[in-house]
Amino acid sequence: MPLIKQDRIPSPMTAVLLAWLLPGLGHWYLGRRNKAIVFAAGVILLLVTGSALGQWRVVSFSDTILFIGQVLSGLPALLLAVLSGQILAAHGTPDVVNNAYEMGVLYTLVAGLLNLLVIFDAYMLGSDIERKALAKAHNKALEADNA
Amino acid sequence: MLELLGRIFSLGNPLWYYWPLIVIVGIVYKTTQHDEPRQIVRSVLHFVASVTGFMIVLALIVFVMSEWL
Repeated sequence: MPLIKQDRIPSPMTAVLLAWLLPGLGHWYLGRRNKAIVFAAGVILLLVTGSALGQWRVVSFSDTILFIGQVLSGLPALLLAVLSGQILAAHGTPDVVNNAYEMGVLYTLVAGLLNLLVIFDAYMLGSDIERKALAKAHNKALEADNA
Repeated sequence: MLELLGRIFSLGNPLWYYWPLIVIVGIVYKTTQHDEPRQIVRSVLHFVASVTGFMIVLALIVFVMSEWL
C-alpha cells in the first residue's frame, strides 16, 4: 500500500527524512517501489556484511568521524552501533585487526555514503513530483476560471 | 606477468573484497540514474567492467614500477 494518497502532494523533505531513516523508504513514499527495494537491499546488505566482516564492532559511537559517515545509513546503522557497543563492552576490541576488519570499516562507510546518494535522489525526485503536481493544479485552476 | 596474475587471483588477496563492493555500488548508483531494469543492468555491467579495468591497469602500473624502478 503506498504511503501517499492520490490527492496529496508528497513533500521532498519528508522523502529525505524517510530515506535517511531507512534506506529506500523515501522512494517507497514517493511511489517508486522497485527502486526502494533495490536501495534498501543494497545499502543494508553492504552495512550488515561490513559489520560481520568487522566482527560486529566496526559501527561504533566511539569513532566520531567514522560514525558520522556510517550513520548516514540511518536506523540500521544506529542499531548496529548499539549492538557493537554491547559486544565491545563484553569482549573488548578485537585482538587482530586484519584485512577483513579493515574492509568491514570500508563497507559500512560506503553504505552510509551510498545512502547519501539515495537521499539526494529522493529529494530530487520528490521536488520533481511536487513541481509537476503544483503545475497541474495551477493549470486546472486556470481552466476552471476560464470556464 | 604470471607472478602478478598469480598474486591477483590468489584467494588471500584483499582485492577480492572489492568485487561485491563494486557490484553493489554499481547497482545502487545506476538505479538512481535509470528507470528501466534492462538499462540498469546494462549500465551496471559497464560500470563494473570500467572500474575493474581501471583497477587492473593501476595494478599493472604499480607492478611495473615495483619491478623496474
